[in-house]
Amino acid sequence: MTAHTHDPQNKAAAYVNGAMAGRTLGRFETHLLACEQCWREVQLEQEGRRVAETGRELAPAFLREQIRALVSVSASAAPRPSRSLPKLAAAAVLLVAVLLGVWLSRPTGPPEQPAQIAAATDAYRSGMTVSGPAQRLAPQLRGVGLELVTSGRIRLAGTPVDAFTYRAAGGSLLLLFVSQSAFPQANGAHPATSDMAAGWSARIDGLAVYCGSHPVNYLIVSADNAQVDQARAAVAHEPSTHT
Amino acid sequence: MSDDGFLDRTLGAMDLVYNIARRLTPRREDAEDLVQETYLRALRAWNEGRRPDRPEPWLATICLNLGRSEYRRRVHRPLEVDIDAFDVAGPADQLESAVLADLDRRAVHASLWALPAEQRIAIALVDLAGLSTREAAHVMGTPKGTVLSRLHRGRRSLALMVESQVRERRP
Repeated sequence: MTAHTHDPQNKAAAYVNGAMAGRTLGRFETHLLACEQCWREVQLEQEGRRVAETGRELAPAFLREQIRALVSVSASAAPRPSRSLPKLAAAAVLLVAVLLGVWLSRPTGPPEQPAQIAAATDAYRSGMTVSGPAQRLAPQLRGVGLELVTSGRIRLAGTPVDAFTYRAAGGSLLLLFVSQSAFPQANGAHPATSDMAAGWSARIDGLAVYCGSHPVNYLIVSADNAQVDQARAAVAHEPSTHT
Repeated sequence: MSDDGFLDRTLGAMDLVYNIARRLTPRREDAEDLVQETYLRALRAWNEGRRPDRPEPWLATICLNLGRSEYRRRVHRPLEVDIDAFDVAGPADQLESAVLADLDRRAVHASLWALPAEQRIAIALVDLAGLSTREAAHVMGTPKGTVLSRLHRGRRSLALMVESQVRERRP
């Protein structure tokens, strides 16, 4: 190798990354034995690669579940605003949402909901951001045809709650929120039994909502009334909610 | 309506996408958003008939393009370190494996963020995501020689940073 072609960094890069072959490789390996500069470049690159490889991370498990749920929602017939809408479309959606909000909040419209309840129904329609793993085990609702797709810790209007997303065979979703503290009562709620404190149900902007307080404080949101009824019965008898 | 095999073909590459996303945006939460966005974009393309032979470079390309466009505007430009600031005198000692093992992942992450963006991305694609240099070149839209050069400079800087840290730890 002549001084004219001596290029330690590029040669080392090609060597370490397996981009050399045949006689070029043989010549460079012979050269390496005599050239301190090239030897150092090769060593540095190998060390740097080892350092870089120690930075490998595993994606958090909840992210995997979130993606399953996102794909599931996107693939289902239920319309859902996408997070990847172009800005213009997103702005248009926002404008429509604002106008709709103004229209809905007119005196003759449906009553405004407590922040936690509104956040729960928003989460059903627009998805939610999980901040960590759920503190409780997810209640198993397979007995009523609901498969768990995500679980995690979220904040509902500032209150930390465990959130579980379930999917029915037909693709429809059901959200279950479990909290240490009682959920506020929705405006327009009806007692599920003769005692309002034992549980209430409400129809909020096309969604069925049920709130129970036994054995834990929980809130169920779904577009399907019957699904909510089945889930609430299952939750009440699910061992994980009794911890 | 099902996802038509999308998850079966792509979910195994999620760690790869996550590792790339972590080097495109410094906040973990933003990286998680970027991974989700990548999968949504990929799903859309999948539903339009796109069926790549190997999902890894395909997802890496989507992630990188998203990271470069949308997310780059949202995050602070990382501190870039001039490698001349490190002491490069003397031959490179082989790093003691115990010391290397002792380096926690956070320190490596911080060191990666000290690299110029294109070097960091090359390392993310090859060393962290496991793509070949040819695939990385395709994903980055550059000749393979450019990727090799970026890899070398980035790895070299990392090695020098770690050497410097090791020297500081020594009594």
